[in-house]
Amino acid sequence: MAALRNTSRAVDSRSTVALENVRTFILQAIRIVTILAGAYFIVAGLDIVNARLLLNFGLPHGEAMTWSVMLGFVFYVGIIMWAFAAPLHHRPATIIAALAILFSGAAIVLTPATAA
Amino acid sequence: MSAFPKQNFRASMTWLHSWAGILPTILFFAVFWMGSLSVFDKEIDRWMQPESRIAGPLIERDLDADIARFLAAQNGVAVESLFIMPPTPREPYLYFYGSLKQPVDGKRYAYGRFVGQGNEMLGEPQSLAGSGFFFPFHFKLHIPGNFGYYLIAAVALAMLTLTVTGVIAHRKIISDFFTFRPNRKARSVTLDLHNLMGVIGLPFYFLFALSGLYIFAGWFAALPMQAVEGVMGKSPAAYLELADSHEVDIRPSAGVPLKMDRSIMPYVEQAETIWSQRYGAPAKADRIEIEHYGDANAVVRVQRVFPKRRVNMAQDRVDFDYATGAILHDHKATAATAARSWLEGMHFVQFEHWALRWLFFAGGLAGCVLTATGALFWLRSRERKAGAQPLNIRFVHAMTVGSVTGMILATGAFFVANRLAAFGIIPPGLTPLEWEPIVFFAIWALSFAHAGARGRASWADQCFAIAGFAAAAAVLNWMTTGDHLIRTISQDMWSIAGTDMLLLCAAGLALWSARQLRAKARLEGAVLEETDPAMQPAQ
Repeated sequence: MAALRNTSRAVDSRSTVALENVRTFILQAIRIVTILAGAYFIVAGLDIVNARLLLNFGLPHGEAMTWSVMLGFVFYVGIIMWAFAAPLHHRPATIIAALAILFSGAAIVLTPATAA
Repeated sequence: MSAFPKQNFRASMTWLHSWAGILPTILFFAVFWMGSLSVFDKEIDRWMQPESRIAGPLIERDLDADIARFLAAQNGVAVESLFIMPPTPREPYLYFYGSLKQPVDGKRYAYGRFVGQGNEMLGEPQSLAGSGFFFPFHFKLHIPGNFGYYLIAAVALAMLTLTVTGVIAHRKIISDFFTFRPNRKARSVTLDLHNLMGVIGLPFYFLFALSGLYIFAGWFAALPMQAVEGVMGKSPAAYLELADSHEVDIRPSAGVPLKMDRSIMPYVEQAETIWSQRYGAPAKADRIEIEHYGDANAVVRVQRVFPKRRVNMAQDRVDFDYATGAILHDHKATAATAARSWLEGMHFVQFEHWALRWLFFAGGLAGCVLTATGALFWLRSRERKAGAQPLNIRFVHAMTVGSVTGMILATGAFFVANRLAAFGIIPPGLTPLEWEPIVFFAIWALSFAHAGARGRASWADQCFAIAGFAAAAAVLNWMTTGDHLIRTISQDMWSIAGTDMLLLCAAGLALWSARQLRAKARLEGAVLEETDPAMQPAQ
């Protein structure tokens, strides 16, 4: 009977560990997707803000767009490296999500009225 | 996926380097391999199209007479616009592309080529391996729609990340450069080779990933570009056209007919004179476009997309009013567009500098070796930890074999299919243009299945098959066209001779690799028999 109880406890413990592993995996996957997608939206927002500001300063259209987009790719890699270098990934994931919302919002405000 | 390392910055970057590298391995190899082949896209095209093989110097043709011939061949259907590419040493034929006002056989366009001194117009090419298959595979994997572009964007971003994290991950990057120990264990040799290739090509990989991203910024940076142009939700073509319109005034048609009896040559000569004076060196136009053909607002656009001795691309463009000859627009690149055109020119490798072209080809192949050794090192490390081959390792192994040797094998099959088509060995109702890609994808898919079934032995098997296909392609080229190496070299047909020589070199290298792999497998088997009691014969 005791042996049966021990076996049952061992099975319970194994299933708890397995469930915990699945939970950790899902959480990490969500954080990675947040980092990758959020970084894109931060960069997209920054590109728009940057391009509109440069246009307002009188830079030609092609120049403003080109500089913004060229810098954007390098900036994206920088964000990814910073996020994955952090010891706890929920922090950069949260910061990235917040920044993505902030810059996307700024981009929407700065987008011309002709946009659909 | 292993948990995130939390020790230090270098450990985090090594973790990121491993996963950002291993997940897109198949795509990395495909992009590097197809990119390397695309460096010689025009040469491969000529190998695949025997009708375009012309010996001797470039022949200047009468452009006006050829325009008349092209229009006469359209059976009375008017053209909306005309695109002309004069002959170049790499493409020694005059190329026409016309956008038709009414569809003919369901097509809204017409092709035409004039080769050598002949007045007979050749139609659409029957095979376009270099520029029509390998090159698009390099940037969109032949996936319909825009998904292929986005996938390659992710690969390019991963490559950018890998170049930076690779530098951080390798503590002794300078000593890595001088470290190659071929007599060590396979795992060490793989890592040494990976480090060596990584350090040698580091600037090349970084610049190519960045410039590749920039070339297709219309897709990859769609969101900001759409927002700035005020066309959210529109197609990349729509906002790219809008972005271009800031630089070039696109003139609408007047709707008034115009007799197109003026020669096109004075426009071309005037544009070439402008560029020659601007740069202080002779300049030659390589693209001529006539927009609104037959309309009072017809525009002649003369371009120099690929300057002979300059990396910068698509900077020189002069628009003329066809009716009056007045210059409508003389394009002068601003600082940012000049930087962009330099990045584009460097990536497209269309400048006439053969030493640099070979160097870029070598850089591409180094990228292939880098990818393959990276995946192999990852596999060997896991195999060592896991002992026997579990299912996930076997799966990654099959993926690696299929994406490395399988991709090369499929390319060899493409060449063989092209030459067999000359013997009529092709399914009825299919053209070589349709049949060759089917062969490529079928052989590629089979290589994955074969790798899954044969395990480690599949490396050697597929190397033997590569040797067979590559040698067969060179021999079939001789049999179908009579163009053997001695003939092509003696007639200065270096594009054909070079392709044949590369095929034969590939065959030799693959054969050598296959024999080495077989010998190593036999040795490992013998050692296993000696050390494993289960393998000993019963006493």
